[in-house]
Amino acid sequence: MKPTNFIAGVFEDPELIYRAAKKMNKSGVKIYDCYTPFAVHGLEKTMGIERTRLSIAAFIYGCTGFTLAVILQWFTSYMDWQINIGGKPNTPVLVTFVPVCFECTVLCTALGTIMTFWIKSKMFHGVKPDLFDDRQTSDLFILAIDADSNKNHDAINQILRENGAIDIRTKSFDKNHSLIQ
Amino acid sequence: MYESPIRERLITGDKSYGQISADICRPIENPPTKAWWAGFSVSFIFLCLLVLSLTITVMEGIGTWGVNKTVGWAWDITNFVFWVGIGHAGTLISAILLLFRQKWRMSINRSAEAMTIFAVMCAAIFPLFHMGRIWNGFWNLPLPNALGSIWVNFNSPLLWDVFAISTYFTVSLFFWYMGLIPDIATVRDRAKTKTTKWFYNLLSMGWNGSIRTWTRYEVVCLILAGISTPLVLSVHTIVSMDFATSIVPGWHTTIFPPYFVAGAIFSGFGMVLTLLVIARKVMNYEDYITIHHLDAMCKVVMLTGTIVGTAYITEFFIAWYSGVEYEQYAFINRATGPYWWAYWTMMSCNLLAPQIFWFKKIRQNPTIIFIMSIIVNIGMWFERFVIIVTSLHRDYLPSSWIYYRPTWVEVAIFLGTMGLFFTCYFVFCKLMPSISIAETKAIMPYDQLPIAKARMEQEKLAHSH
Repeated sequence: MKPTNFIAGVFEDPELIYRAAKKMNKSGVKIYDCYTPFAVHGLEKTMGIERTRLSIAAFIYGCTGFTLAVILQWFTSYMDWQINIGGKPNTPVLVTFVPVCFECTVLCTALGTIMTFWIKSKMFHGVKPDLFDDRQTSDLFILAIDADSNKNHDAINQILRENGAIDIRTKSFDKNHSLIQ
Repeated sequence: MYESPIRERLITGDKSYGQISADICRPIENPPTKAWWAGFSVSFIFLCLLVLSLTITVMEGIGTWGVNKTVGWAWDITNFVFWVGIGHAGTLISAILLLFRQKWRMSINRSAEAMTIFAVMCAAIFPLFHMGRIWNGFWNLPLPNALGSIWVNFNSPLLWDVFAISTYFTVSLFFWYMGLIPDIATVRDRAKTKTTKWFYNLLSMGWNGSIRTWTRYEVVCLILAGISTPLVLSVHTIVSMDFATSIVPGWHTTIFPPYFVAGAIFSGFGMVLTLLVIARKVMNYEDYITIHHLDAMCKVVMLTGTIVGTAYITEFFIAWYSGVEYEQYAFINRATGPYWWAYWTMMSCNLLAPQIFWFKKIRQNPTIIFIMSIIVNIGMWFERFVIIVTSLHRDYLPSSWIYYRPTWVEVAIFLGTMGLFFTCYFVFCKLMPSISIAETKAIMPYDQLPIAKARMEQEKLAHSH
């Protein structure tokens, strides 16, 4: 069940949202997510986000691309129809296969990784974004906390206020909202 | 964030985050200026010329071109290599400089990447139309044997090129789009009218700036940079193998791959400079693309120009050292034969002219940089012309020696691709943020931000009391 009610601390300063997130962590409040106009480094550690396994996925896609390229070239140039080039001997795998293998590896890695990233982040064309503020992609930094599972709202509000939030809002989305966790 | 006390600041003018968004979005949010309309109209006329000349080529055939049985490759392949080379700077800036953590790339990578994509589009036109029967273009693909032909030849560098160029185009396009997504979201959230909101919403894929997404996003960009780096090297290596694997004197050289890659970066930076020197003025981006960005790019131009020049001299040396008289003749003919003027244009534009960038005063003078960037473009175009035409026009059989001249159709196709390139660039400048908004904010020196300054002042006061 996705949470639908949030408390959102609005910040103007990346340093302050970082401090607030750290304090939140110390007092045992779980942060749902932060929304920032650019990647604020350090926040992900405070929130306890683990390193993504996308690089492993990328490696697997690369291996797939490489294998497909070898199979394609082996089948077309050895199995199905061998080209006679000045009577030179034909072997199942030729050194001339290297460039195409390389290109296919790169192509599959790139497309596979990007597609996986989009699917994992629930990013699709035409998804309506659920925003806390129109300026969160420009110059505001949002710290969002699930209001249903965290009952001590007063304490949360206090931490936000003490750490320089310019505004504290409660926000409710319908249950099909696009915020990921 | 650690700030180097020596380095020049990457963004000048004490901007706040909101101001960066507003500055970069200004050309998108306001009606196009007169300068934009003028540039767009001229480019569009040239684009029409492209359509006309290609129509003539397809209707009449390759006979409308100046190529003949001795010089079978000339203008078209020259332009193909020229445009592919132009594209390389974009990938160098976005991928290689990302891996080297060069922060100055942030404000120029977007337009350089756009340039890559448009340049590869222009490049693809030439081999496709040189096939004569463009409607059979799909014969390049490894398709089953339904047409009575055999499979494509995987031993041929020309087929490697098909794979290399199409992979390069696809990966560059996706890399560019990935970089654009957060910025499209910024434009979307600033949009006032319903249609613009709808348009940017469709392209932004629901981006909301979540830290979870950001961390994944940064890893994806790093992976893309990691694979684009060998990709960009492979693309021009393979392009050079179109020539190097043949036995034509003047082409049959092992130095070609590194020499072509250096040349590609050289010419690409030339084109980036041509565009950015103008764009930063017209679009008021002087705070973002500072004189120090131009300075850094000039250094790259000088370095790669010198590498290319060294390669020219090395070729000459190896031709002599190999003792192969045909090879020796090819090079002497290049410098002193009927195309001597092309050879010396190339030498002076690529090797000699960039040496003026040893002087800091010149690296920081936009007018001279602009003129130099045009010279580099001309020089690199002639490099390809020299390699291709002078090697072919005098073959082993003196009775078939010939002087190649382009026809007006060939010239029109080349000018037309210029039109296509610049039309695309103008449309891009109007629709998309041509500087990366999110990345620019991330490299903004923190202690120069108005809010940070105010906060630190307050904290200092609180301490002293």
